[in-house]
Amino acid sequence: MKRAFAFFKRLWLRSRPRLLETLVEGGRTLLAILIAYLVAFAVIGLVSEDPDTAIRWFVFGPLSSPAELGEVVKNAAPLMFAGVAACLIIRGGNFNMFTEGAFYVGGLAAAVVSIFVELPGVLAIAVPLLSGIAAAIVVGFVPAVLKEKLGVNEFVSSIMFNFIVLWVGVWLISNVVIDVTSGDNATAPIPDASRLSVLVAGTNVTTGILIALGVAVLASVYLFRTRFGYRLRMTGDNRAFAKNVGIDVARAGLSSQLLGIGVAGLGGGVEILANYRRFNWKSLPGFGFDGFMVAIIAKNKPLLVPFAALFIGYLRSGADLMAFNSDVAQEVVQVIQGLILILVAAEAFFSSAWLRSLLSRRAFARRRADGTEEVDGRA
Amino acid sequence: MRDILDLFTTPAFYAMVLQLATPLVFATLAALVSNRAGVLNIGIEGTMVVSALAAAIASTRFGSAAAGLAAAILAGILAGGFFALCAVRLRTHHILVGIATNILAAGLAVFVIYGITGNKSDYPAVAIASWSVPFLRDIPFLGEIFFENLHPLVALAAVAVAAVAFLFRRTVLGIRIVAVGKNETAAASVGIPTRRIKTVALLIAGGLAGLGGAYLSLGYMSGFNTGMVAGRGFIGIAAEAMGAGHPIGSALFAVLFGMVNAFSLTAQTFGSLSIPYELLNTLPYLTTTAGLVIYSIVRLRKARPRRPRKEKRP
Repeated sequence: MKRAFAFFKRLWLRSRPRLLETLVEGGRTLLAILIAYLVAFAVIGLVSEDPDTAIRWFVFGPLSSPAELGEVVKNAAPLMFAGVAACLIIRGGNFNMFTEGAFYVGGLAAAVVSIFVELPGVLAIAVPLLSGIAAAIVVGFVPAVLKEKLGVNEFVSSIMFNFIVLWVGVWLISNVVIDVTSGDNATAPIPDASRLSVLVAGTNVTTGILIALGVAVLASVYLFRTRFGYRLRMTGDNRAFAKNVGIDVARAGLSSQLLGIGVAGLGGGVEILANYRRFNWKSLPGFGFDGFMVAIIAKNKPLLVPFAALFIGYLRSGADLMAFNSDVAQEVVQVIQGLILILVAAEAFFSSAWLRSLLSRRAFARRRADGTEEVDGRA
Repeated sequence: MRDILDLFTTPAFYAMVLQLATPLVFATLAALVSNRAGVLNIGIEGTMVVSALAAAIASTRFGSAAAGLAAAILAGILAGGFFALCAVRLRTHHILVGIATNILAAGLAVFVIYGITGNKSDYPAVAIASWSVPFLRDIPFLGEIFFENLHPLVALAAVAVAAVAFLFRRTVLGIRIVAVGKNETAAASVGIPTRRIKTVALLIAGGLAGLGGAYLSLGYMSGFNTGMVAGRGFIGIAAEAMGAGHPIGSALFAVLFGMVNAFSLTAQTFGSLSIPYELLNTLPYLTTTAGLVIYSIVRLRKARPRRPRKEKRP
């Protein structure tokens, strides 16, 4: 009892100086979400004949039944992988967008391995997932190493790689691993032994969500409790400084990108084994970009990613229900997502620094005189 | 093999290169102007989507291609203004603004099309008519490439390259943009209104990207399609990087990518070359990556000798 008390006291003392900041940060995230919602309601009001019904489904639909709540969790699972992947990459100071392609590669590799390699028991799931990770890392190694060794802009090259991966994948599923009996450009059906089982009866929640949560915890431990994670964060925060204190920055940067890509590859595998009968993606799934948004909402903290992902999953489910039950297209959700991303990441929007600068006119004047308001590149 | 060689001697191929290069040239110029101001503008892709759609809608609503063009430019400038508002005023990291712009643009486009037509991908447009220049079109070979069925926006792309080159060489605004991009603190210390200059640069970039979008839906195709931009904004960024910020050099790289694109489209019809079209589609992206790698290696080499090192761009 005494020890527990001491523990909480220590926790309190440690967090007190940052309490105000945490509160402000949380508050502005909520404010950003509120503003984005108001804009979305305005848009819905503009286009819909019956905005009432649309908004009701959008906001309350996902909460209306256990099955709908299950949809929220199902939608959130890939976003958790993507969000954790983005945390790892952003913390290392990179904007590698190959997480998008990694989802595709990981999903395709997992599907193909599960179809062509028959394995007993848990291996029927583990081996396809691991090969998904491996395939994503092998392909993703190229843009990552080009960035770290040659300084090739990883953002542009990784987006080019996304398109390359997509077209090669489409070629594979329409020529090489195609199952002509499917009547589609798709692989053969994934064997039942390899499919992730349903976790909560009556919903679409699979064991994939457990893997996602596990990955979030592992990533958090790696980032904040190991020396590798420390090196990675230091490299991301200030590369020159990290280099001068003897950190192998190229290695730290590479590991951050490859870990992120591996997590995204796992996410692709889980998504396919959980929710698809065959692999038939003919466009990129979009999870990679969404992941960056989730990471930003979660302040690049892997432990907060599941919450951010659940929120986006809730948005998506609501939008789907709204599109099904009213005359509004679900793409309105992208408007909300874009606005939230900008407002949450905005340094000048209701941030503690911004509040302080409002309070102190001298600081404001100084800032103006500097002309530089870029604090640090990273959000 | 014969038909590949034949391809490079037919004027029709080069005319196609010009068509495919035009949107890339506009995207490259947009990337260039914003990059010179120190902002890596990822949102060009989304800006092109929005303006291509605006062009299609306005051209059918008013029944005139000119209205479509005006709407596209306006939409581009608005998107640029949005980017500036977020990146300059709200100080959101510009890559995140870019990602958000692209998400917003893609969502908004589908949303608007669905609201108007009820389908989710296509919207018709009144295209800008092509135009054959009298006399000049009779020049053998070159006339057929440049002056036969010349799309006004293709010509405008060439003019825009010259205009951007002029902007940075001969105008106060251009030099201020460069100053702000090179060192914002230094620029502010000599009294340049850095925020305003950045905003203006982003508006110009938005307008240029808007022209690229307009060409896609009013020229290259007559109609809007949700997948039609297909990474051209990103290829523009790559071309700009390889041209190292020089308008003409960057535009030439854009034309090179246009050529690869034209090749990958025409090579599908060849009998002697049995490469499936899916793999040919990767060609523009592969060459872009290869180009970026070469550019980086050259830059690393250059960085060594005595010449003062170029500012590493964000």
